[in-house]
Amino acid sequence: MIAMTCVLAGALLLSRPWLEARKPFASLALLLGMTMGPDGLGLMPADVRVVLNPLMALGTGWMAMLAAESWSLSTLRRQQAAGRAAVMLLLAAIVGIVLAALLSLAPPPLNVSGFGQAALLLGCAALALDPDVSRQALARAIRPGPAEREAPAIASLALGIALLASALMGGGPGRALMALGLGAGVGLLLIIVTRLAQGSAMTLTWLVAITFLGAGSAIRLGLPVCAVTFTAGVVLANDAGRRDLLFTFLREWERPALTALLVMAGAWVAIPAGPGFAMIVLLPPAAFLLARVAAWRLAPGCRLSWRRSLPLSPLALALPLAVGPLTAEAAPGITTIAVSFLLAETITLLAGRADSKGTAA
Amino acid sequence: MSEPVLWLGFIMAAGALGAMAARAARLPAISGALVGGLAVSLLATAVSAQRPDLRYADYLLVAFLCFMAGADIDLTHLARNRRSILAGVMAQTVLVTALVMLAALALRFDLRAALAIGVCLSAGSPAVVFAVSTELRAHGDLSQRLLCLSSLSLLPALAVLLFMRDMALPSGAALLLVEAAVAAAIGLVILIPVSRMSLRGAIVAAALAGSVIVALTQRWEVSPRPADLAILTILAGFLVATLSANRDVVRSALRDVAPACAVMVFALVGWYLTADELAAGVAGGLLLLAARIVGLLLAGLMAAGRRDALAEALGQIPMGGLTGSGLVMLMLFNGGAPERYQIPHVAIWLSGLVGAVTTRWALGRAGEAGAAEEDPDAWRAAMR
Repeated sequence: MIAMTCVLAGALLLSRPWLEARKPFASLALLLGMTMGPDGLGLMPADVRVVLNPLMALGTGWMAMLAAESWSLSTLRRQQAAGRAAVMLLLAAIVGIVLAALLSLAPPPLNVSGFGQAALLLGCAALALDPDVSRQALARAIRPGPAEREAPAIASLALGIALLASALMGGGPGRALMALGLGAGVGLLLIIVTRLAQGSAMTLTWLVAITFLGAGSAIRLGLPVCAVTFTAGVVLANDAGRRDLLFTFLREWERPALTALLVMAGAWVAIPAGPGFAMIVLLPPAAFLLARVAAWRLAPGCRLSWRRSLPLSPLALALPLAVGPLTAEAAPGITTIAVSFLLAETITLLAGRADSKGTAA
Repeated sequence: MSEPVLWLGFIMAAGALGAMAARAARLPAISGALVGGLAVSLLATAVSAQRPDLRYADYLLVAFLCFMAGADIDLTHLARNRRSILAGVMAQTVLVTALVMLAALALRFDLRAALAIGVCLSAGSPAVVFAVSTELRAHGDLSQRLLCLSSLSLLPALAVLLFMRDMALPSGAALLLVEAAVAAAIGLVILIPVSRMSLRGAIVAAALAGSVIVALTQRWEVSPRPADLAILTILAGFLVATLSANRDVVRSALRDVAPACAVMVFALVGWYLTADELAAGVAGGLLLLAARIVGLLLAGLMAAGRRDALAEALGQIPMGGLTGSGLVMLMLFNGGAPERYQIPHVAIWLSGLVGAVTTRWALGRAGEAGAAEEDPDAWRAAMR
């Protein structure tokens, strides 16, 4: 209960910046979780990482469902998704393998368990672009070029592939098929019941209930929550009748769900103690970000500027949850991704400020 | 199968299904949710002996609902009708306690347990009244009066529960004062996001108010603390809505999520009743409920006059679930015929099922259904 209180207090403290999208509320939420977590001030009890697992799964489920918004068949066709997906997967594999090789040389606190799992996790995190950043940039642009117009769609596609790939490659084809089947079933069920439900209150009730059912079934069957709910979201995105209403609800509660998810992810971050820890913690994320930006810059058919490819989607922090159940071994993976996330958001913010100063001058 | 997230999904889905069926039959959604929750409970007993502990989710949602109920109380109405409302609360507490106590004695409870049951079952349920009035978009004197009566009637029940758990009155009262101060502080903190029109922030803050109070109440493992939870969250909600300059918009925002929250809460209430408890407690529960209804009619005649007695009595039938939970805990862990706790438990469930229907009928008869003038989308417009 104390942990829950901390999570909600964090969400409340950050309620004001929700209205000001340019503030780095995601980093603040993450830092708040790190500060209150067992390795910070210890306000959250030591068992918080296990106790809040279901809540984290739920937050992830909500966000993953929302991430599928751009995955309607018509949009995918327009984007020539198959070709781009192949390029993205290749890109993820290269980044993942290179970084996993680097990490295998790193000292113990940063050793993600096993080479294969590290490569998978980091490769998928490299794909987890933040579509909102590209959307905001597009909205601010006075005369957007083709690259800027394409960037949100590419980011949405990449984020979806990251969610599916991390979940599906983590447990073999049987698990993958089960996750896809369950997700499709959950999505269809949601479409059916919300068609029968009258009024927005019942629709919201069903949305919450079915998200609980989907996430709970996934946990029970040992399947990745984000793959199941993302697949359910894809089914919703292709239902012309209810799509707008359901995604409006999902988006309306996006920020509270995201903030809670980030505070909980922050509590998972384990900063190793001792001299030189900053170097140990900072080097792999710096390498990860460099590799990521370079890969996106060179990827044929996707070529994104460093500003579009640097910011990580907050869902990247939930990727270790997709690869397997969250245990203490997941902490180094989450730490690497969390520090990368903070670094990327800081660089983007500083670059934005420098730009506005230049424009003012 | 003890996976809590999955069980929560089943319970909420069954509650939503029940609510839809109830609406189709022109009954209150929460009656359907209560039945839906019970259906999952009966199935769960057949499927698995292991039931997950969902109390935290339940308390949080109830605290949220009570916060919203508190925010819906209108200070102007309360001040204008204070004498009549206080007279109503006193008449209700005395008469219902006496009659329910007699019924409990007839059911062979000892005197101490009968007194506890009498006082606790004299309290009303602001959550049910609020849920039904929100669903009907009701607004008017009767809905305000029912909300005030049910909220204030929790106080005597809480005082007796505190006394009966062998806590010295001064320390119990001091504890309650500290908790009330915390609730007031939470209410004032929530005013900050509300004053800046961050209403989604206010909704999260309302959940925070609940969780802080739940965390406080969890310090005592064996205690009637759920009753504090109800009163304190109502107080926090009342403060927010009363002191906020944007009170209409705040109420509109909270009312927007209230029906969904109510369905989830009452589905969980249904889940907590098992087949064995239902079988063991249904006859006694019906007797206690009948005694309460007679007591309410008499109290209505005394305080509201012959014309309004029926509407007031029927609107007040739902019993306070959290004071009831406190009572059950008291009986289970602190003596007082623990083997017969099912009877008040079933009485509370039955009162929710029947009471939601009668409250709806009373509000409809008073012509208050659909009278709420606020635009349900006002808070979205305010945020834009």
